[in-house]
Amino acid sequence: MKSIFIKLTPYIIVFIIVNIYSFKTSDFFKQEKKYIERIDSVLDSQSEIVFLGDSHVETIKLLNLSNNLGNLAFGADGVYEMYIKVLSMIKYNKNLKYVFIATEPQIFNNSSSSNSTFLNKYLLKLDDTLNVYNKSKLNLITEKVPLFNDSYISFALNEIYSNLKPSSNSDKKVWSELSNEERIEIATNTGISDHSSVMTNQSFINTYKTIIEICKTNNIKVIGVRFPVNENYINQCKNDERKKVDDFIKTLNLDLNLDYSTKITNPIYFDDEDHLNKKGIEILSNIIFEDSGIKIKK
Amino acid sequence: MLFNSFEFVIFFCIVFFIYYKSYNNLKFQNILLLVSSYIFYGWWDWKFLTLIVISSLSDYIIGKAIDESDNKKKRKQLLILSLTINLGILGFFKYYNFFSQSFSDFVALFGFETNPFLLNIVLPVGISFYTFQTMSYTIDIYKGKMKSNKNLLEFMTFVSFFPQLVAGPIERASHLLPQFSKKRTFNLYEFKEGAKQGLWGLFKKIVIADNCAFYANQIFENSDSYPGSVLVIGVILFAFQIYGDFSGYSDIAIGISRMMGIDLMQNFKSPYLSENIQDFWRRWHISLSTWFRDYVYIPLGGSKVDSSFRRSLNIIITFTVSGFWHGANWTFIIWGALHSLFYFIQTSYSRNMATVKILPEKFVKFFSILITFIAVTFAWIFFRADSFSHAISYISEIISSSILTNPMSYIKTMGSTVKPFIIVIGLIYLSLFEIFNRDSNYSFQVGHFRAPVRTVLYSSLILLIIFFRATGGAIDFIYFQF
Repeated sequence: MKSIFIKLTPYIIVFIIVNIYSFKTSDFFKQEKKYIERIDSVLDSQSEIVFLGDSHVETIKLLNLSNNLGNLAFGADGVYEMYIKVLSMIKYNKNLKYVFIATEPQIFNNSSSSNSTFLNKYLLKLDDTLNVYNKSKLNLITEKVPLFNDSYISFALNEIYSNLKPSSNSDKKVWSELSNEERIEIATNTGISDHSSVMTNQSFINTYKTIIEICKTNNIKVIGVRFPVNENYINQCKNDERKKVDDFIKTLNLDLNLDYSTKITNPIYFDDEDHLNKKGIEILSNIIFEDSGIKIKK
Repeated sequence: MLFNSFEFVIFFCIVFFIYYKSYNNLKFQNILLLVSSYIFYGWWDWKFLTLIVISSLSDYIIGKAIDESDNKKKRKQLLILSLTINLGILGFFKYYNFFSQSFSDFVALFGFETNPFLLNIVLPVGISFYTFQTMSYTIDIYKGKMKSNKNLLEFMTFVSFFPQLVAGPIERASHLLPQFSKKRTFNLYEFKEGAKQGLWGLFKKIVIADNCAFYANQIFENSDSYPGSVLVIGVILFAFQIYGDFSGYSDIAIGISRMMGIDLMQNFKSPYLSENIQDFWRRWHISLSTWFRDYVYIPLGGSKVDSSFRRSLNIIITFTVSGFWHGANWTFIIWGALHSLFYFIQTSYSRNMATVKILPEKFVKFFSILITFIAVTFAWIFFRADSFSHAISYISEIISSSILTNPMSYIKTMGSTVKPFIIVIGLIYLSLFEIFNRDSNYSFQVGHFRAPVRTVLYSSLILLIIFFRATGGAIDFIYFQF
């Protein structure tokens, strides 16, 4: 038995070193830190209004946000992540009155979020009755070890994969300075990949429904919101799938449903095909104020 | 509790530590194995433990009674009682709804309308495996092939031994049972070999099977939306998914048993390198195919019957029943029947091939392996499809002109959770070991290499398991549903 342990020792040492190195240097864990800090700051400030969604909604971070408003949106978030955040808010933020939630079609695509393990800390404290990630408490704990963390492994592989691919060498141009053809091409490509198999994952649909029900049970008003995007981006969502999303959102009886998908079209207000820039988000915040009476920026 | 979960790793470490510390106490070791097996099984649903206890007690008592009786008639009655209990449990939990629905569909053909009385039955995990294992015990005693076991603890441990309880290998009592009466001591070689085999099984499950499942599941579940070329990829990936999944489970089961000094039978032997269907069944799920050979095919007369018609009928019956064992669905029956059809076709064509001496032997061998793989993969369509009509529409699309469509654009729309290159590298790695160790107990045989090469190979396997594992969460083993 001793000889086995001796033979295994180098492997164990390498394993520990790789884990420590990954944890200290990887962008994944830096992102995780930022993610947790944002949630914790919203919890600390006991915000009355929170925004949930992916990178589209996250653009409100470019504004000087009102004191009573918390930005819980984060790039790559999906339905499950929004659900856990809502559970955390309801449990630890008794001031919560309004939830702005993304109703965009890409939220309902069939891909799982790379942020899922960022929420383990909160999941361990919560009673997640749906067990959205289908993980045991032991799983949640072991995922603290980088090489046992599925999301980190996917991230690391993607990093290696993109480093191996020949780089295009072109610096990112300002969106409004691109030609119309270039914008169409970029928006179409992103739109295709973001809208694959929309409304096919029943678990996402049920979880989204649960988010709304939980909010309603706790007397929290829910406002659906779609942020402006390039029309060639949104048009990549198939008509029947888009209709399914719209019909589903209607059945939820939201307190307010704001659809700004095509409200702002001028490229000068965009950072890229599906994200507003600072000017764009300023304009949108005024529109939201007009429509809902809720002030987003100070 | 899945083998590929941290719960199991902790569970096994605890069990193994206590087991290792109690090498001189056989009774304690057996108690430990029995208790841990019941905990392992109860992790799914403790209520179904009752079934294992009923099955164990009834076969223990009946086996003893058969052994002690000289009366031929009484022995036969006791055997029938044992089979009735085992097949009754299996029939009720696994086949009741199928027969009820099929009867209703059948009478509807004659214009009678009946509402089938269907029950909301949950299939207990591994029921087909342990009932077949206990049945072989009473049958072997009846046939005089073995004596009954007089120790209830040993017998109950044999029935519920956790590594192979839920998905086999389906052990014969004559092989496994005596091992629980012998003193087991720690054997470093067996421990290391077991650990290696377990690791290889883990690779097959989480790198090969679970990654292939990502695409295969999407393709089969949305087969209407894909052209024939994508459907071909789907069924090939399913072929490797089911192989990686099931043989991976078997390797882990055999590996961890070996670590504890218990020898389980080999269940797979590079089946996709078979030269014909007969050869395939000598290499695929060996414990089941030999079970059907010994307890169905040979009792029917096997190949020692006068007419070739009877011989063919025996083969068809054996394959079809084997298909039905997998699940209560016509698709499984057709899958089994298809294998018998391929068997006949290949037997006749092999005879003709043997007469053609012009072609080089290696070419003939390669060609035979390829044809067998295509036949087996084709049959998997029925195995994986939800229904007969689903399988037919799947095949129709494959044989249409859409097979010439470029599949890559469709593959790209399936999401980026699993990169295709991971599957390609995993399959190349698997194939290399399978080809070079075609007839070994398991393919990851590296003992004959020099130490540095061995270290590189072990490291590569560990790296593949860590970095190329499927990252969408633990996926159940396919054979749990059987």
